[in-house]
Amino acid sequence: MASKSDSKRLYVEKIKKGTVIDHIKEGFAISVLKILGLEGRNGTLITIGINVKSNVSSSGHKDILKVENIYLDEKQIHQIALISPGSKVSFIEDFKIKDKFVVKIPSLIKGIIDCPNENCITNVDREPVLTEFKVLSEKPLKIACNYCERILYKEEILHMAEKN
Amino acid sequence: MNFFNSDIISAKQYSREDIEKLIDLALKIENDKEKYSRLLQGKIMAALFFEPSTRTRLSFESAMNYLGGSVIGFSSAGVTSVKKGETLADTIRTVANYSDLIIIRHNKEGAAKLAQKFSDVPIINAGNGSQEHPTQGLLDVLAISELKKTVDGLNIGLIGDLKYGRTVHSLAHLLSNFKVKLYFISPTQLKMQYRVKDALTQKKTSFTETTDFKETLPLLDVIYMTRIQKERFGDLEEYDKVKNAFILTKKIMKLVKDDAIILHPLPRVNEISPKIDVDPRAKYFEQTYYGLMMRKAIIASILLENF
Repeated sequence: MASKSDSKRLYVEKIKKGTVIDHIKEGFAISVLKILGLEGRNGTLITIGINVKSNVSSSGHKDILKVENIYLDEKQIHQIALISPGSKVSFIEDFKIKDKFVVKIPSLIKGIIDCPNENCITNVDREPVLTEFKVLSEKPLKIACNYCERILYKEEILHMAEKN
Repeated sequence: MNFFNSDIISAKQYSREDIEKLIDLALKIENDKEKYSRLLQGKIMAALFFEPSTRTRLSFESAMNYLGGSVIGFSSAGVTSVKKGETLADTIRTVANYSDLIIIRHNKEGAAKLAQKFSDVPIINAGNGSQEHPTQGLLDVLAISELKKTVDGLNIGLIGDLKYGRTVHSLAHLLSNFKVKLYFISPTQLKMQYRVKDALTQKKTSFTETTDFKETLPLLDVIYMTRIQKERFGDLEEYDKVKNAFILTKKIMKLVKDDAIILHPLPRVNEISPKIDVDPRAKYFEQTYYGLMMRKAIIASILLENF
């Protein structure tokens, strides 16, 4: 018979090397996978837990992702922060946690998502600039393009993050 | 703010004190034109107009010439390396080597900001997409201030395409520095942009949004007309419904106060009947002269330290 602690851990298998993203806002694990561009077709082991019970989340649920052999870069971490701030990222090596941190929305979102305004100069091919958005409010999330001043809300931010 | 070597990207950058300082400079130059006719000798202004313009480009060029400076530039992207695929960033880096000041008009929003990033010389935004046209706003405030002898206490109506009209965005930001009551009169589809209204709310500027042109007209001291563009409507039936609802005719002018003024950034199409041009309240051609005055002040204050 599985112990109480085993029953809590059975959902998601341990990984030897790679990234664990825990405490993802419930229902957003698939969006995170899209952002990371992971489809699992190259044989990468990806374990997903959706609507897993959580004692920490106010809703009582969370999503969790474990991705073997892949470490996230800074851009990907910031992208996750946009759709699920407060997610916990752990980098794993030899089944041990090498580094662990909570993702936070950066004050300046630079080069992370494109501007949805087609007429924004940042969408012109070959102009040598990265998009820049300043955070107007974190809750609810509201950001503005530093170039065209277009204001983006949560849904549009999620859409743009998935598109990248 | 110190104008010397500064950029003009948005009307939001100006305080009331800045605007009043520019108005004073414009009047100072106007009152002694001969004295300032060699003020900018040896200075070169580049006018880069990637989009069509009559008044903005010519008044900037005229202002520079009247102050003794020289002008280079183009009035269509078609005659430049942009046609060969050159980026705006590369164009700006090049022109910054040939001039002391760059005036840029571009169809893309954020173009002036990008130009600012790549230029060693000051950049003046002369209109970028449907975002802003700050120097038009400044000349509009000068016109209001001179023609009405005050800005405070006025009821000012901005009429027409308030969503895509860049001049009304800049003007609304500038007027938020004064004690005015703003009326935004437009079809529902072309209401004032949220980001502008948000900025006005933060500055506690009073504004009312309405679609009722005739009912609001009698309240106004300043009537600022703009063009409603057909191409802004996905559904042409919608356009047909509103196209005649925001037109100043001789008959409608009877609703307007005797001492009100009619302004328009021009070009106009049919929103002001030519029959009104002779009405003493029609001030849109005088307004173009304030453009020359304000642009002289802007250029001189950017190119000369302590002017």
